[in-house]
Amino acid sequence: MATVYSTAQHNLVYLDEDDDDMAERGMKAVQDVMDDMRAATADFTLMWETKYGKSGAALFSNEPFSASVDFEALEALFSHHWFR
Amino acid sequence: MPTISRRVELSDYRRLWVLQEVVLASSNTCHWGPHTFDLLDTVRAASWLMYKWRFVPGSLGNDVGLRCASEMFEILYPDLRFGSKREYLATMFVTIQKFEKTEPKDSIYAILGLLYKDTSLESSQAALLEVDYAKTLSNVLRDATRYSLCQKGDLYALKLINHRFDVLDDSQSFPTWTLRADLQQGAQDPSYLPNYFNASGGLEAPYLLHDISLGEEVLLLQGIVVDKVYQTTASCVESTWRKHGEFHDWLISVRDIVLCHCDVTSQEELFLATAFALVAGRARDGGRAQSCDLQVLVEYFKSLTVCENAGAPGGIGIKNGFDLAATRSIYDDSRVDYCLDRRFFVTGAGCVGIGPRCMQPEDTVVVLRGGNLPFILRNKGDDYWLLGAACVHGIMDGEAVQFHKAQGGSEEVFHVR
Repeated sequence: MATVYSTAQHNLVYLDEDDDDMAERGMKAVQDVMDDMRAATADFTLMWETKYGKSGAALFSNEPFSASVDFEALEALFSHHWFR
Repeated sequence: MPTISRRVELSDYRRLWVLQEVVLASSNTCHWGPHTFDLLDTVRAASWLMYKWRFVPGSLGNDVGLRCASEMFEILYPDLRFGSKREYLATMFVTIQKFEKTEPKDSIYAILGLLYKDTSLESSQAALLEVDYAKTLSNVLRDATRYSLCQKGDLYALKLINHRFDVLDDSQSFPTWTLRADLQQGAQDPSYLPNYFNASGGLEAPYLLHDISLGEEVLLLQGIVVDKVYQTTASCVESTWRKHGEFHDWLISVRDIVLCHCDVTSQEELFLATAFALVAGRARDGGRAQSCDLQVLVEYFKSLTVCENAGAPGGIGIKNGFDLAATRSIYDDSRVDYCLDRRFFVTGAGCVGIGPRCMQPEDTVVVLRGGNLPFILRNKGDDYWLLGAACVHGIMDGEAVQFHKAQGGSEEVFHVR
């Protein structure tokens, strides 16, 4: 199986139809989360340092999101069965 | 070479297999109706949402899909420090447990392609992971657990063990040291105790993990007996944990055990030790807790004690001491989620800790070679059962080992079934 998979260079993941017109909002929300992350991690270069710190133990933020995020759309996105 | 595009769909490859598929391809695009998302961006956002869970609505924060997506990020992200968990089966178990599996044996077989090849193992150990669907599930998981212990040379995999029931059955079909990778770990399951302790500091590395001279069902663990469990609270089940009033009552039962059985010469220190145990030594931001991080819990216990001294008779007076705002502040300030589905306990010598829900008085607290956490064992004739990992105040940095050596004590080999 691993051999089969590694021959694929590009995968298309099919989540679902966009019956509730959520996909556009979801796309925007992912970008908003990414913007928040980019600002806090020097353009993603400090992802590890931010999430794990020196001890290697997972840390959790005490800083709220800098702008509002459409959590409802994100919930719709991640509730797709594919992710589980 | 031409770009080969494949469509990943549930009907073809189910759940955990998906992980192997997206990681081994060089890029992945999600399609949702007419819109497309880069998968790496999407799972990266999931990872950030988990990091900021305090500011995320609970319905999203507890979503299994979000947790799996965040786990995908750790495996997918090109930063090798994230991908390093692919080096060991033991660390991959954490990932495996988060995903659904349609065929339980695939909890092991579906990730073999993700695991970096380990050429240092002897062939008898490497054979433990060979794909064989004719093997029973129990044997697949048992052998995978032993492989993970041999490969990493420590007990990392055992600290993930979490027996689902309060009482272990004598006729269970799995050895107690088998990691149930086939079961899905949800947001409501007890979280794994933190990693940054070194309870076995001072002990050598284990060398009997591969030894099957007493049978494949028996794991030989080397270490020292620290103490016996003297008394435990009830398990802090989810319904208790979620209701402030009931969690308050549970904390009262913690306080009662502590005041009854521990040396109360310094109440402040006793409550500090208790608070340390309840949050598994972890501060709100995830780092290791210092005294200042434990003050809210310490003050809570102090206020409860004053309440009792004021002369209120029995449990009723204590119940009246319930202050919603004060209990809320504990949830806001402290990592009391480690209490979920665990018991608080005191040992014969008066140490305090939290441990697995199936533990009971007379169980044994041990520190084992290769185990950065103490473990709780149950004596069964000549053998032992492994109940799970614990956090015990005062022995998390190798103090028990030092004390044992100073007393001239020797190590034992525990036969765990």
